[in-house]
Amino acid sequence: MLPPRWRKVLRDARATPTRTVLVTLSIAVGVFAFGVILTTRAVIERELQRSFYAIEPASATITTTAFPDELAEAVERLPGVAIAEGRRVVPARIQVEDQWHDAVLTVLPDDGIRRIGIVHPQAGVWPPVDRALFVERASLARTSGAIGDQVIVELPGADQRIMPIAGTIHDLSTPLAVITAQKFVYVTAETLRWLGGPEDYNQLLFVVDGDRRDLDHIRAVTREVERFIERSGRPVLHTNVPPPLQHPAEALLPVITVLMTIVGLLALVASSFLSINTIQAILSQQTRQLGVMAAIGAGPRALAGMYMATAALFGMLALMLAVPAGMVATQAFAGFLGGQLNIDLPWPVFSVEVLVLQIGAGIAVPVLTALWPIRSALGRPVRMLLSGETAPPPPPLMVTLLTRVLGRWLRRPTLLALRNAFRQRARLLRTLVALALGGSVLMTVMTQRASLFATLEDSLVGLNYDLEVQLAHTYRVERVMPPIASLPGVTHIESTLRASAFPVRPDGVDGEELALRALPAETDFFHPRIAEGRWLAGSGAREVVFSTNIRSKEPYLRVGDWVTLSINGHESQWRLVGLIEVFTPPTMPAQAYVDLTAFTAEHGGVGRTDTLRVATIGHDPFSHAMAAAAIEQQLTAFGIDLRLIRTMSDERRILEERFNLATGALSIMALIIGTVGALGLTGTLSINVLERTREIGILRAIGASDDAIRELVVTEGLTIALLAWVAGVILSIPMSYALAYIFGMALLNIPLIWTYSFPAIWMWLGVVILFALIASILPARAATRVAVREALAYE
Amino acid sequence: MSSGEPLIELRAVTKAYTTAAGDYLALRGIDLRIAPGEFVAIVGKSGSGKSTLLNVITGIDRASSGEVLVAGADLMRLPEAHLAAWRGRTVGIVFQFFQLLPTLTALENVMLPMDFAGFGTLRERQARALALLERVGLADQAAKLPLALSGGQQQRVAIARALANNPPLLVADEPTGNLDSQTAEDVFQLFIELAQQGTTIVMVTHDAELARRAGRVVLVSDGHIVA
Repeated sequence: MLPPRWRKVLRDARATPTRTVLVTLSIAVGVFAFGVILTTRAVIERELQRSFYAIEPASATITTTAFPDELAEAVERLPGVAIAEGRRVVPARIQVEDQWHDAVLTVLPDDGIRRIGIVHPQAGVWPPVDRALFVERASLARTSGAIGDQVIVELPGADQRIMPIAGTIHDLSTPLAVITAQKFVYVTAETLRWLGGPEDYNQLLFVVDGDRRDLDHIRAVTREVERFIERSGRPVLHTNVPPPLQHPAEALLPVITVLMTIVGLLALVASSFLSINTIQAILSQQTRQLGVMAAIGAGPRALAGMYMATAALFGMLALMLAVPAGMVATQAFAGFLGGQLNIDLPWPVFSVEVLVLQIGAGIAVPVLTALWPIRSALGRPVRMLLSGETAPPPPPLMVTLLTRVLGRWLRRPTLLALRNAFRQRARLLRTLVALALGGSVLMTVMTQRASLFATLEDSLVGLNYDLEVQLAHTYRVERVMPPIASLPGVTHIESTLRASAFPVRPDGVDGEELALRALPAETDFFHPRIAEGRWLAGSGAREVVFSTNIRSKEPYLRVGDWVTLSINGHESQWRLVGLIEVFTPPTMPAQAYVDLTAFTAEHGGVGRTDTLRVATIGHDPFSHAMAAAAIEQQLTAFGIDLRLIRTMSDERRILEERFNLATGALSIMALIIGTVGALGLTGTLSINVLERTREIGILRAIGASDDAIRELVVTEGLTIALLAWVAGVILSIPMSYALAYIFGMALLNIPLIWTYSFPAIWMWLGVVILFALIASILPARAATRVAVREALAYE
Repeated sequence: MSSGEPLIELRAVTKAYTTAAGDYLALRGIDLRIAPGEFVAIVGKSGSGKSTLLNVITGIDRASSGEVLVAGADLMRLPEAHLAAWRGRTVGIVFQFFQLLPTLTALENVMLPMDFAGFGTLRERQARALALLERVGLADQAAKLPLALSGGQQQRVAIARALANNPPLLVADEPTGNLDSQTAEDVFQLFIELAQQGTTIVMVTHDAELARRAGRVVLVSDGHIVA
């Protein structure tokens, strides 16, 4: 049996079911969002690390010329090396369902077992069989292909071969499919020979002995391995020492998780405001009861305890909804993110720490936020409590004056509703904040989308070509340009050279790989936005321009510095003259641009090209597809080996896909906060109607019809909604501006061009009016059911 | 407290309120002594200060100046935090509009002061609450919510609640003001019985007839005791 004070707490909650349901839902939505977001964050971080450790990631990868198994076995015997393994990786292209894709082809051991970067079979045949293709599961998901489909595979300069997709594998060492446009495919050594590919290995991967997180230790061991390879008579073409035991996506996670945490906390804050409103309303309604209890011996602590228990009860009810619903939603949300990161998650997705935090927040937030109204109510003398002074203060003078002016045109109930909206100003403010937060996040998301597309358009404005044709080898310009130029629809061609380059750091170690492009300094096709410094001065100048993501990869570099670049094992000096804004994630290689004449003077290749940029009359996807097909046919006819054709339509489609993912996830978060806001509006209107029962009774006693009473409630709801609309629009401006900057810098390495979405303003107006109308239904119905006799007796 | 000492002693008590219309002196130098077991009726016109006097005696309101000694406690010096606990043990209050908590049954309403005062075990509180309802003739209504009871029944539950902690002082503000004459008579009879059993009763009333039947009448006018 419970003591009567606690029974009162329970029965009071049961006596006003609408209010209890509303406040419970408000808290539940906040706790739900908080739980889903934090659990997803915790599980993704944990599982990404766990999964990555499990594949035995390489401490370093050294690219050299062809070598046999014996070299890898000898390296494994070196001190400091735990495991060493050779690998053959070749560029390729594959055609799936008439669509060509850029691919990276890796040779798997005959038994499919790799000791470094362990792969797992997912579906289809295993171990790998000859003359069949195995596709990384995330890569396959981004094509229209399936196991059993026949695909065309082509290595640079080799014949096309048709083979089936025999199975999928999971290889967590590959870059994220959502970021890279490349597909990762696997074959046996025999299949590579059949495709016309080289034998032996060209990459040596190894894992260090001892502390695998110690970068200095890894570098020291790497230097020993490099010396060993060089002593074997092979050049070290490139060495890659990635951040130890860190999946590439871990660099992206902080931004995503910080955004998620902010939204989760905002949802919790918004719901806590609604909890304050409800507790304050309960205290206001029970003012006289508080006085009576104080008069019969209840001290401030006992009374505070009762109302804190009420808040805790709401919190517990909310948890009963939020925790199971959150578990289901977390499974879906974490599953979605896990899919993007190409990791498998356990079932059920669960985090004890977050659950404890969620339970703590679910109870602590309403209890702690209830302290303020409780303190305020109990600070009043018992005499005043007993007198039951609950009438809210009159509206501010300005509102009264405004309604007087508007009185010439508006009906009486409308004017009364306008004044009523401002009577409980603190409550109004909290409701507005909760509702406006939802709106501002919605408008921020839409502005974010508009900004992404504006930035994309702006970056594409500087790219005046329609297709990029990458050849399998270098050819003389005179051999490749005329066949393409003769095609109808082609208006202009420019020849360039591409190469892999590595910045040589001050300590002599190679930096991260750069995608180098040598092009005429006075190019008509490439006019990027300059972030710092300037573009290449002119023909023959030994200058280099980097994309801005070089800042995170090689932070010591400054515009004006001389940079040593290692290109095909040959080092040369270039002056860094500028940084350009390129629309690419920071995890992708930085881009380097040098003048074609200066490049060929240093590295050879005068009059040769391996990449052509082509402008066409049509700029739409269909024209691009037609031009790509015509160019491929023409090159084949002229015996020129093609590596890949990329159209600007493809580039745009890939980027748009990324945007839709990002804005999709943010929209879900906006929906969550919006729901809290809508619940808050319903709660506030219900409380206002309840508190004005006597007033409504008087209005009815003097002849107010049901329609007039309904109009009173709906107009009040619309007034609050319109204020929230204005507040949301104002709040969304700095919010969207900050997000455009942070999001751009973190995910694309450039601040987005902030483009406010004006349609979002009208959409938010529609949403908020709809919210107000829905939120008014229950309170308006309650108000029209108020009986005059009961209302006038109401306390 | 020795047997010769008054249960209530007020010396030169004043109470001033600050209102929007200016300062208002509700009590102007009240001196009052009430002995244990006395049944005192406080009468006076509306706004004369009788309810304020009752509030000062129960500690619901503090006097602006003077001395207020009730059941051995100096209410002017008793900290706010201790006042409620003191009131719970020492004073039983009956209100004009009963003021039962609407979501608690009659029995639970009577148990509530014992709950706040930490009186006995839950079982003992229940037994005592039932005994008190029996005493006011409402044991059969114990499980009913206040809304299911008549005005007279509610007031009798309120009296049972006031007696829950067996206080030496029972204070009633217009306890019959909202009852029909027969029910008012029944309630008054209850007060007489309680006084006969040694409970000190201080009752504010407008009803001159009932006041005359109390042991002593205190007439308040414009913040003074005039008789």
